[in-house]
Amino acid sequence: MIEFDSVTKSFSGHRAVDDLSLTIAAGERVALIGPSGCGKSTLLSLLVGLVVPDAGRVLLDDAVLSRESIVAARRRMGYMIQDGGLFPHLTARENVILMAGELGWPKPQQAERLAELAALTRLPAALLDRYPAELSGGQRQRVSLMRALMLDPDPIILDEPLGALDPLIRADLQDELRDIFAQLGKTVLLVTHDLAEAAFLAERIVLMNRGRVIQTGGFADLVERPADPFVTRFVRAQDRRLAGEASS
Amino acid sequence: MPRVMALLLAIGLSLTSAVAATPELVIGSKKFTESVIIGDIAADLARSTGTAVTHRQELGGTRILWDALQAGAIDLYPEYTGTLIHEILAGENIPDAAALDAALARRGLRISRSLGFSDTYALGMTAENAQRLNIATLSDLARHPEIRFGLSNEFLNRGDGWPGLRAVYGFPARTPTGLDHDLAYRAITSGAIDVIDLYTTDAEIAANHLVTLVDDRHYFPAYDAAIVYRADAAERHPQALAAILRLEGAIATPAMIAMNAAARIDHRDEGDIAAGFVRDRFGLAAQSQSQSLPARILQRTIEHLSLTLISLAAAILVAIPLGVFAARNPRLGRGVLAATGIVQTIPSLALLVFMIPLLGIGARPAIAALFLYSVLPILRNTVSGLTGIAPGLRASAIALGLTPWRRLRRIELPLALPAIFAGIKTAAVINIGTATLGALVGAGGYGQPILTGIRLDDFGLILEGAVPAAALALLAEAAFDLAERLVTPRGLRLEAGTGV
Repeated sequence: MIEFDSVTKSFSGHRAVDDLSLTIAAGERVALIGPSGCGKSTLLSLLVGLVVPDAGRVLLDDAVLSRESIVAARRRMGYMIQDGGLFPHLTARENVILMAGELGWPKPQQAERLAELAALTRLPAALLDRYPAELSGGQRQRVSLMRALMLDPDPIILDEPLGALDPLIRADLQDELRDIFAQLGKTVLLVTHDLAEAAFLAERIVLMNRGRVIQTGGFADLVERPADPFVTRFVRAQDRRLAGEASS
Repeated sequence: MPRVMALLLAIGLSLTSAVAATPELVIGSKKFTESVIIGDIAADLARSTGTAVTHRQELGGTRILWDALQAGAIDLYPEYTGTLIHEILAGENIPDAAALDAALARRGLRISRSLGFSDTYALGMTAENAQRLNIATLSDLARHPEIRFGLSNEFLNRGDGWPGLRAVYGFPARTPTGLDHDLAYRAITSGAIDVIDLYTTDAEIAANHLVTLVDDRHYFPAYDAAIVYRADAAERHPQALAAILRLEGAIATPAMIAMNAAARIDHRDEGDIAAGFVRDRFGLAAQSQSQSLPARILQRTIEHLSLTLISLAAAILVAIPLGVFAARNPRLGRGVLAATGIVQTIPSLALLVFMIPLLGIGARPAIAALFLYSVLPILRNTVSGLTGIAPGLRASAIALGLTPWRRLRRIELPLALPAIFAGIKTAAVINIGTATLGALVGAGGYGQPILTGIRLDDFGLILEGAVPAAALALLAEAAFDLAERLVTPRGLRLEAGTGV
């Protein structure tokens, strides 16, 4: 379970997250959505401990995240960013097993887990010895997901996981991600700017603007029972874009 | 990376231990032919008693020698009484020889009696003219108002030069022609002028058949050549010192002029000249210390490499951790970068001189100075390499749960490695070039023949140092390029987007 309790975070005077409270239940799949700069990525950074809140608390499984507890907590979370964040000086395999090796997993256990994940993400084993620069964008995202999942984490945290991909590959990976989430049954917190993707991958959508939660609920709630004119504007803008994409 | 540094250190240390066979009696000399020859003669005399002697020749100027003597880095060197009285101890207003002895004794130093010649300003003319006009002294000269003077600009303007001289002897009031010292010799032999200023032991006096005119009113202060030495050196090596003090009154002015001429005009080796003097004057079979060309180059290569390798290895060991610290603490880091930047702006010669009171002379001050110069390029590149890592990679490394130390070791340093390596390469090339200045403080290396070559106006000798130094710099650059390719992880050499 993830809990943000009255969290505020400012960057040079600008409130990226403004007195925000949000709870994500164990096993729940939640998408954070909103315009650029609404604070959705900052919320993930707060959870992983890349930034520290100015006020309020972040809890993981009822334990407050602190400077002391954060390193251990990070190893229980699987985190993946937009362009994959793969280390260019390590091969795909080395990227995936990096943390397991650091924790002293025996080699056979590492290999077994690696094979499981390759099957799960449908990455051909032959690609594991390539460097990130030798992989396509979609392949890099699969490797990045494998790395995030290596230690069998819960929750899984994804920051625009498919943002940098072209539409066809993106659609394929959306299908696969949904299957993977379903198979794993883990808590998922993902950030996207695409309402359709949010509706497809998550069971609950959290719409944010200016560091606050505007509305939370299913896709139908946002469309049929908007809490605010901003929700309607946001949904319409996304609709227009969908229509535009369809006609092009 | 640690293996590379350990290797550099090991090579450097083994080289110094090979070079630093600790000498017993250390003789110094100035970057000045006469001083080098007297130093060689003193070394030959001391060796004749079986004492182990090192002659650190061409140690820059008066200030370096004086500091080194006081610090105990050298035991003795040739000096002129006038320089001691009017320059080094000018603040103490020393009236006579006894006062000079007392002033030196307060510093634990002693001075020999005059070696037999004085090297001071004088006026000279061709022997032929002097004979024809019957001129032997400056007073004789004053009786010939038609004489044309051609004096160096420095002599013309010094208070103790022309203005005072003219007043004492009553020379004609019109201002003489000012000209460059080297041109003056040509002008006087061609007959364009009749009288020039010179130093009493200039090699060119003999070569151009000039005579120096006697300063019969004793206007010029005495610059008697002597040996200044540490009192404790006389206690440690009484026999060697006694042998050296046999030089008192032993070198007449014409003998010194002849030796200077042999070195400067005939380009003979100073060690051979000194050995010849010791053999003729004292009947001692002194061996010239001169080596064959390959042996000389080998020894200088060893000296030069040890300066460079030790200072570079130390700079790597200090600059990389400092760079990591500066990258992690940007505010303090700016201060660290600024401080090393300031060190970089100190002229190398000044930095070397600052080091002498702390570290004496020889390899140590040179290594310290080279170390300081090598830190900045490595430090700056370490900082820029670390701070230039893409934010996404940094975030991923943190979010994976790596501890700060493991993050540095597994992710950040490998990613910054190409930048750090480029910094080390820059430092190495600068270091190899700057190390040639180490010869000024007795560190040897390729700078030694360059210094000697400049002093003797011997282009061949300059090349003997400059060519290997340039070759070493190029070699180092090539070696670092190769090593860079070997240590850079393959993934970093690949261009992004070459994938399927």
